[in-house]
Amino acid sequence: MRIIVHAIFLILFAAIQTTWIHAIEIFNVVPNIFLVYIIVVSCFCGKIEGAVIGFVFGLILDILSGEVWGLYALFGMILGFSVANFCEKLFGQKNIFLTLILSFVCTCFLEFVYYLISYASVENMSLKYAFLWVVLPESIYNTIIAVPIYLLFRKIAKLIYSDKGETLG
Amino acid sequence: MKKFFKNRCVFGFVIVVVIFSIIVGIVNVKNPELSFGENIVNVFVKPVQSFFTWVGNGISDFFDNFADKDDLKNEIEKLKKENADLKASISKIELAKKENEELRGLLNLKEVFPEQELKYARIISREPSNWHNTFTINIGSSDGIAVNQPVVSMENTLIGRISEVGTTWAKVITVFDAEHAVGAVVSRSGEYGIVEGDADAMLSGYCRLSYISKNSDIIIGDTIMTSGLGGLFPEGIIIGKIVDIKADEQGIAQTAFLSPVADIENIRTVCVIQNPTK
Repeated sequence: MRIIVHAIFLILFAAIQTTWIHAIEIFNVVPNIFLVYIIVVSCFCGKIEGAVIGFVFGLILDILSGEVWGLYALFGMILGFSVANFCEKLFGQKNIFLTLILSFVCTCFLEFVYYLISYASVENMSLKYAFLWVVLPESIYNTIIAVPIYLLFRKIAKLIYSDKGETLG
Repeated sequence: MKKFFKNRCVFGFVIVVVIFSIIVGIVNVKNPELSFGENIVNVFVKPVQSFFTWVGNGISDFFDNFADKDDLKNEIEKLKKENADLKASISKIELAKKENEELRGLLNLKEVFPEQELKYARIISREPSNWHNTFTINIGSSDGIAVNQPVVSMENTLIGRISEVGTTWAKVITVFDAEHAVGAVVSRSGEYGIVEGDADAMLSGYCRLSYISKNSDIIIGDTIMTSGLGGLFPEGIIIGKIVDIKADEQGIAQTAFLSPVADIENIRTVCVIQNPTK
C-alpha cells in the first residue's frame, strides 16, 4: 500500500515539477516539491523508509535535471534519514510547525551545499546571488508548499501507517 | 275539461308556467342595459367570481409553471449543449489557427534557411531545479536530432542548442544557461564578440556579451546576431538587444548584457536546425 502511494506521488510530482510548476514561478524560482515530499514523509515514517524514499525521489530529480547525477539522490537519502531520526528522537510526535521549520532549514542547507558542490566550481555564480536569488526564495517557497503537502499526507498517513500504531499530529 | 279546471293545483301550475314563459320571452329580448335585478346580483356575485377565477388561475398557473419549468429546463440543457459544442468548435479553430501560424512561421524560417533541414518540435518539460535553464523537446535521435544542433524560434531568434539526445526526446540548453556560448556580431557596427550564459545575469533574464573592445561604439539597444563563426550556428540569427554595458576591471575590454528577443520562458514550439553549416 505504502509503495503504491509513494509511487503515485512520485509520478505525479515528476510530471508537475517539470511542467505546471513553472506556472507558479516567482522571480524565476520554482518550489522543489520533491524535497518537500521527502521532508514531510520522513516526519511520518521510520529512518529506513525515509532514507529509501529520499534516495528514490532524489534519483528521479537527478534524472529529470540531468546535470550532476546522483547528487540529489545522495542528499535525499541523507535528508530522509536525518529528518525521520530527528522527528523520532527529539519530538516523538509530528506537527505542522516542525515540518515547516524543517522544510525551510533543510531546503536552505541542501541547496546551499548543492551550490557549493556543483555550481560554484563550474558555473561561477556568486555566493550572494545564489543565496539571495535561489536558495532563500526556494526555501520560503518550499515552506509555503509544505503546508498543503503536509495536510494531504497527514490524511494519507493515517491510512498507510495505521498498522504501525504511530502517533499522528 | 270541467274536471281539469276544477283541479286548482294543476290550473295554478299552468298559469305559473305561462307567466314564466312570458317573462323568459321578455327577458331574452336583446336589451343593452342591465336590469336592476341583474345589477344587484352581479354586485354580489362578481367579487366571488373574481376570487374563484383568481384561485383557479393561480392553480392553473402553478401547474403551468411545472410544465414551463420542464420546458425551460429542456431549453437550458439544449442551450448548454449548444454552448459546449460552440466552445469546442472555437477551441478547434483556435488550435488550427495556432498550428497555421506555427506552420507559417516554419515556412518563413525555411525562406531564411533554404539549404538547412528544419525540424519542428514542441516543448514537453522544463528544468525541475532552479540552477539551470534547460527544457526538453518531443523529438530525438530517431528524428535526426544530434548534440549541438542550434534551436531557434519560429521568428528566427536564438533559443539555444541541443545538449542531450534520447530516442524520442532531446534536451535544449538555452542561451541563459552558463554552459551556453555562441559567436555573435553587433548588427549595427559589425563588431564580433561571444554571447555567454551568465549565472548571475540568468536570474535577471539576461545573458552576457563578452570580448568587446574598449573602443567599441556599442550602445544600448544594439541588436546582436549570431556571427556564424565557430561552425555551430548559422549566421544571422537574432539573439537579443543590449540593455547594459560595463567596462572590465582591467579596462581592456567591455562586457555588455543583452535581453534575448525570444520569450524563452513562455515559448511552446521551437525549430531545430539539423545541418547548420550547409
